[in-house]
Amino acid sequence: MNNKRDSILNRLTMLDFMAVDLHLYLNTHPNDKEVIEKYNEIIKEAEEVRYEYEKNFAPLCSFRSASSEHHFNWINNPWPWSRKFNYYIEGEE
Amino acid sequence: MYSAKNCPSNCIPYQTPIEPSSLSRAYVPFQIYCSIYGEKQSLLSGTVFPGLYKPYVKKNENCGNCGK
Repeated sequence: MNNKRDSILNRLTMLDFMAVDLHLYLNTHPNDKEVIEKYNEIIKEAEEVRYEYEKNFAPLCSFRSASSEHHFNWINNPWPWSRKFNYYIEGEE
Repeated sequence: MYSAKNCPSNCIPYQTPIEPSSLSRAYVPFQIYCSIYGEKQSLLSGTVFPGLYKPYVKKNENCGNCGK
C-alpha cells in the first residue's frame, strides 16, 4: 500500500468528482458566476494534482501524457481500474 | 480544500414559490446554488450539493414510523 500515491489519487478523485458535479449544474445554470469560479478553481487544482501524480507514479490516461523515451510506461501494472490499485475512503460504508 | 461556503442558513436551494402545476404534471423546482460540500464529503455523499443528498434510510422495524 503506497500511502503517498493513494492520498494523491484519493484527492484527485475527490476533485474530479466535484468538477463533474459542478459541470452538471452548469449545464442548466451556464451564467452562475459563483459556481463557474468554483468550477475553474477545482479544474485547475485537479490538473496540478494529476500532474503531480503522473510525475511521481504513472500515467492515468494512455493518451494524455508523454511517455519516457525508453519505455512506454503505460503498459506497466497496476492499471488505474484494477481493484488493488485503488483505495478505500475512511468512512466508506 | 473546499468547504461549504458559510451560506446563510435561510438559503433555499430551489426556486420558490412553485407555481401550482395542474393534474398529471410533474414539476421539478429549478435548483438555486446555496453551498457545496467539502471535497471528502462530496465524494462520500455522491453529490456536492447538500440539497440533493437524500439517502434512503431504512425504517427502524420495531418502531414503525416513529421519528418519520
